[in-house]
Amino acid sequence: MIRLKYRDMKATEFSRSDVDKEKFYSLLGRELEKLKGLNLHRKIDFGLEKDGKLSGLPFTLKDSICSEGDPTYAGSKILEGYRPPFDATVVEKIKKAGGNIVAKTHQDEFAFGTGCTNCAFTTPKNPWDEERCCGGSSGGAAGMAAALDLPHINLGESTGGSISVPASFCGVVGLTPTYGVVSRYGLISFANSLDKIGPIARNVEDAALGLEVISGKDEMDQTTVESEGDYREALEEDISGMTIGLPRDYFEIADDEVSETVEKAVSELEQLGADVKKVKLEMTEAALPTYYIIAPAEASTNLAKFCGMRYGMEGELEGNFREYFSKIRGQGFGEEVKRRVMIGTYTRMAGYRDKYYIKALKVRRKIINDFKHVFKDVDILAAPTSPVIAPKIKELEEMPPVEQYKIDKLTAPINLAGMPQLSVPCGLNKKMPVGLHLMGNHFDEKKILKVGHAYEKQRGKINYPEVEDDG
Amino acid sequence: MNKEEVEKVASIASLELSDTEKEDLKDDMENILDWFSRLDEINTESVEPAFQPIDVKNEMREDEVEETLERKEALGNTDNKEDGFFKGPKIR
Amino acid sequence: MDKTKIGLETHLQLLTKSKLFCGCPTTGSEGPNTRICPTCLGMPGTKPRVNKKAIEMGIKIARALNCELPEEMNFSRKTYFYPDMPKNFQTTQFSVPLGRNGEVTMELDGKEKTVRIRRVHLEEDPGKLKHVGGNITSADYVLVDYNRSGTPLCEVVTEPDLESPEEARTFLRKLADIFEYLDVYDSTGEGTIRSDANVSTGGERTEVKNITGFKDTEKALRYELRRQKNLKKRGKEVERETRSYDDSSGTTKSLRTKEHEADYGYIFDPDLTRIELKKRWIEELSQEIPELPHEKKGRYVEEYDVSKEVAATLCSDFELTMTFEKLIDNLSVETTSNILAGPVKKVLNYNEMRFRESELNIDKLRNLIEMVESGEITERNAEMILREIVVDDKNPKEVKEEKGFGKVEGNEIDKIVGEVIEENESAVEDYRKGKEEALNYLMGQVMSKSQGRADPSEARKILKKKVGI
Repeated sequence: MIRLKYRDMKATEFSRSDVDKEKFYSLLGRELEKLKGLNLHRKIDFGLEKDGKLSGLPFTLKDSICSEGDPTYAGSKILEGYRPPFDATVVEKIKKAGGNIVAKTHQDEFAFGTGCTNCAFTTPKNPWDEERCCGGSSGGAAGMAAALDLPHINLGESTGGSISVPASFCGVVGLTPTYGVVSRYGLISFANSLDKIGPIARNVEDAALGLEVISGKDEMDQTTVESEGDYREALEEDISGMTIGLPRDYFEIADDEVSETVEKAVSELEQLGADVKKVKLEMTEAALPTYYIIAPAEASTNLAKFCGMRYGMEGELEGNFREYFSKIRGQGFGEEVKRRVMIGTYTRMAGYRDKYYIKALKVRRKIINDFKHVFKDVDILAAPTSPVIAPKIKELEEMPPVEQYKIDKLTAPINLAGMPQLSVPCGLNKKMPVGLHLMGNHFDEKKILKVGHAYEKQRGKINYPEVEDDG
Repeated sequence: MNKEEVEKVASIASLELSDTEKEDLKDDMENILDWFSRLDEINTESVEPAFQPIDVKNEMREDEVEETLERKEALGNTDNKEDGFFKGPKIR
Repeated sequence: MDKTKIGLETHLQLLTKSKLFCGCPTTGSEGPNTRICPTCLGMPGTKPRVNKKAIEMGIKIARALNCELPEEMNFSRKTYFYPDMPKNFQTTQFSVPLGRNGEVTMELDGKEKTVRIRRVHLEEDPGKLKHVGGNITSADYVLVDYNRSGTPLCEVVTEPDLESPEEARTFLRKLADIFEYLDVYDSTGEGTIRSDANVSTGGERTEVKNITGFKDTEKALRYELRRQKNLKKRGKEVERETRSYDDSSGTTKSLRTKEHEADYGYIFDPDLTRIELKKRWIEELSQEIPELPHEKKGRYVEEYDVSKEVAATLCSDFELTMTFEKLIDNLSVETTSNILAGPVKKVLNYNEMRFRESELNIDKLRNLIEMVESGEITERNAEMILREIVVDDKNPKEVKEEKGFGKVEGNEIDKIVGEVIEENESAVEDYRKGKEEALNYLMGQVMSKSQGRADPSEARKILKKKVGI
């Protein structure tokens, strides 16, 4: 009975309702346990006060976000056992606002992956089809949004598309803010100039609420900027008159059926009064290789600290430090991590640095300018989030690395530019969700949010796959 | 890419690899680096590198002392410790 | 002949309250690992926050060393593995340092020499290692204290313009002086000077790492130069390698490892923003730079009419200089400069001390100089008093009484001179014949007999008169 009360309840409605905390949390606990293929380190604070605007609303954190005293492994064996002695800023903000942090979600190891098939602990299964992946790297977070039918917000993280792609594959909403709007203090870094924490939820309003809670300039992260804060305010605004650009090549790159589904969604936006026009982006093809130079280069320095000392995986101190470090890293890192550490190390080396690392940074400048140029003519861009629907886990695991990377082809460009993105489910293809990707210029979160919200209202309810009801 | 180069990179990255891993990585890296050469065609003359995507500058902290960790907390995540020090492998 | 070329990379710890990238204190210790936080311990998830004061100090240093400053500077990551490195990368400056192409002028043996500065930059210190069960080559394991990790360092890199160990030591002293003047460095506290030296004697160069302090720098370089020369004598080539200075044996040892040379794979540190070095800011900071030794020297010569050598000596020790400037507020410049540049410096050098390390202080010196000025004691007496008070906690008046100094009165000198003439007939003859050295000899005898208490110019007058010239 309790289930029905909370079914379809938005996170934004949670605090206004008269929650019977005990019962709600008990139910939540059981659900989380059932969904342990998607989450780990479960812990509910039953004693959480009803104060704070969130009234105990549950939050899950991607496993790379530090919460004090809680296991935080970033999906890797090399960090097994790590309990940070500090909270990430986003966690501090959630706690201050009265949120209840209840679990970490599974992710690709150190966020290296496009399918969430590189998690050292388990491969989360897509709630829409168990044989398919959740999308990476925030697969667990997106899976939770789709599978947990109770009000809550999941925090994911995007470097090259790791919020949008899983959101798209799992049929939920993923909001990636502008780089710098949300503090990265306490986020175990993948690529520092690309990482962004953002909310994943079942609807746009909840995602907007999530961003309100976690955003803001933070003195603990010198790359943060002032944020607008009141993201839900713009939601109900009329979108007529807004111009939406469609990058032609994005639709050509995507599978035909995926493109069609998204085009249909776009025509609905037109009906709501938006002006739609085709635009040309020049740097699309260059983005993915650029991303795969910069991100692993930064990542390989971030991961140097994992060496069997001070925290995480340890061993007998046999051999000299080179031998010991190499052994632990060899044992503790998974295959994709080794690949990226190797590539990232290579492209930074003295003889290759100019050809790869510096070159990629210059191409990145051109990519940013490419978007800036296009945003002079349009308010936002719309395109398919990913070229494909969620691949089958087996197929993905057998794909060569460069093929796997192509899942991010349509998200890598905007992520390199650090611009905000919103993926909104817009239909099914072969019974799997397809995502409509709305992208905006730096700090234009409100524009993409209001378009997304308007579309969602138009689209109507999504019938999420039933989770086994165990009373 | 040849085996020596792979070993050199692995050494710089302090990564112990099995022979199979070295083989696989050699192939992977070849493919990936080949893919990267696509960027050679792009003209980047007089383009400034963008190592951050937004224009943040001049963020600095005032020179003030803040709270430190309790030693117990600092050493709390490892068993390799002795007398308040972190224990590590020898140099040679 | 093969030319000796030495270049120094010197690290000085900056005098900030907190560390370079976090708020942990830079001083104090209640034991290992008590001055750390998640950031300087490099825990996953943490982010650096750069200390404004450290940058300001760095800017002053770059200006004082006559460097060119860029419009914008940033930080880089230098990645390499070592147990004292909490992140296995050091946040430093690679592509865009704080300062470039500067120079330092110093004096050695009365000659001026300019040493070119290649770069000045900021970086963080790693932790401290202890080898347990042996030394670096034989230990069983290491113990690490990360208290020092994250401490701000300023690195000054010279071109290989130094040509001898003495020059190197003088250069380091000069650098330390400048840093003291700028109030960015504390030579007495935890802060020490650490250098790596690049040494060549015509062929390949070797790097000698981690030498601490001025004396050891000279020693290490002496050893290394000798080692290289010996190799050549035996017909062997000097190999390009890295060596470490072992202070207990006074030798350098090879650090050759089997692996490839480290490739640091520098990238920009994306967690830190670019810092604009705006003209206005640089100007304001430059105004805060006090008159530096080189400028001061020139001014002393102009304003106080002292010789270049005296000026150089007065400016060679920060505390001594500050004391001098305070004393001349109400004491005569001539006497003060003579005493400070003369006997004071002499006794300090003899005891291998800096002013601040000795038992001297401004009050003692004031007393002493006043006694000389009033004629109560001679300069020679002053020197003998200084020999005691430089190492003992006594004051000049005490020592004067103890030793029974007091200036010799006119008729006493007369008597002494008379005695000397009697006892040194041949010298007196030589002097009458015109040999000036004979006069000096006789003067020496007078001073000796009077235990330095005779006023030299008066004694000379009386002597000449008595001899009849």
